[in-house]
Order: sequence, then C-alpha cells, then structure tokens
Amino acid sequence: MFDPTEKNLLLGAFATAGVDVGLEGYYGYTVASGKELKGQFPFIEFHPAIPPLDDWIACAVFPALLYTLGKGMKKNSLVQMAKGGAIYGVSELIGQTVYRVAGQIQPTAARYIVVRR
Amino acid sequence: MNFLKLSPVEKRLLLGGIASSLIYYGDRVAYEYMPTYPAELKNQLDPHLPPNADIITLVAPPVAFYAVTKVSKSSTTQEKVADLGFGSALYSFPRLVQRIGVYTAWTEGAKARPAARFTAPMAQARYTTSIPQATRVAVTPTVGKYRLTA
Repeated sequence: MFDPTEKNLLLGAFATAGVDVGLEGYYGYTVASGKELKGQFPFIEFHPAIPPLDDWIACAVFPALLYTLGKGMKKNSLVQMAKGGAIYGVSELIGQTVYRVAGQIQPTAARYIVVRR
Repeated sequence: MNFLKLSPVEKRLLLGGIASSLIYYGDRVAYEYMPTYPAELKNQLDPHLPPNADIITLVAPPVAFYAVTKVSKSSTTQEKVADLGFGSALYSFPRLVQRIGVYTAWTEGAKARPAARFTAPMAQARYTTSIPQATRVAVTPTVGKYRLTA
C-alpha cells in the first residue's frame, strides 16, 4: 500500500503526534485531576496568539532533532521521518496560530449576542 | 529540511497538511464562536473520543482528496492530488490519534480527581426565639367628650 518513503513519512508524523499527545495528555490528565500546571515548564504561554512551548517542542524541536540525528548518523530513513514529522508539526503550528489569532480578534462579549427584533 | 529548497512533491505534501489543518481549525473557530453551531457536531460518541465535528473534519479532507484522485482522468492531476491527499493524511490521522489520546487523558484525569468534600454544616442555633407576652393596657374611658345618642 505504501512505499518505504511514505512509510517513513507516516512513522515520523505519528511519532511527532506521539510526543504531542504525551505532553498535552499529561497536561490534560493533571489539570483534570485538580492540579494546576499553567506556567510551569513546558506549558509556558508566551502570548495568547502563539502556541505554548510544549507545542513548539513537539512540533518543531522533535522533528529538528530527528533530522539532525538522521544527518549525523547518515540514515536516510530518519531524515524522511523528520520530514513527516515536520509536515505534521508545521501544519499544526500554522493552524493553531490561526485559531488563536481568531480567538484574539473575536471579542468575548460579542460571542453570544441574541438579536431580538 | 530546508523549506526554501523543497522538492515539488514535498511542497504538495506540506500544502495538503496545511490545508487539512486549516479546515480543522476553521471548524474549531466556528465551534467556539458561532452561537448557531449544530449541537449534533458538538456531541461526543464517548467521553474518550473528541467531538463529532473533530472526527469529521479530520477524516473528510484525505477522503475527499482520495475521491478526487479516483474521479480525475488526467494522470498528472491524479499524481498531484494524490500528493496533496497524502500530505493531508500525514496531518489528519496522527492528529486524530492525538485528539483521542488527549480526550482519554482528560476523562481519566477527571475520574482520578478526588471527590469534593461537602461537610454537613453542624449549625447550632444562634438566635433564640421568644414569644412576646401579652400585656394588659388599662384604658380610662374619656368622659364627656362624646355623647352616646340613640
């Protein structure tokens, strides 16, 4: 069904999503169980319109690490995995930034206006 | 990976991923800020699963690209759309797994939350009630002011 390159790309994308779910899942579990994590490393938010640090680690640092490892060890499969991870990561960061910017533009008070005539 | 020196195939893969991500987050914006957003899409089949809208917006783009690949007759178009579709899948399917993982973590975390303690207030009465005693008031009749007439 998939050739080896496509397999490596998919594997890299799933590995990146795995790091993402590890960090965000830990945050979700801890917050849902009643503890506060906001502001603690790596759940640091620089600006409400920019994704927090844990997303940058999962979506940018991890693929970059894979790429560096692949180049260093001269393993093409790792480089391809890094590319798969980068496609997932870049898409996620762009999408999340758009979502957060939309949240900033949308005034909270105007969210549920019921117009009665 | 030099983003300025991407091969045409890599560019299409990235474009497919970004398109898929924008569709997903575009729906998230509508979900959050649109008052008339359908409740059916906000529902969850199971607390461990993301809302129905998330599942649909993550599965639909790769499927749509795949359908276009099957429908189109030009081999060049087929190849290009297949790349876009694979790029879309590279974002959507891992993202769906990520969402399921995060919702599972939230649900399990909520289960692990210690139950809130509501201690029954052992309130003691602070105020004593008293019934005022009826008192007799002697009224001296006024004489001469009013005269009783038949």
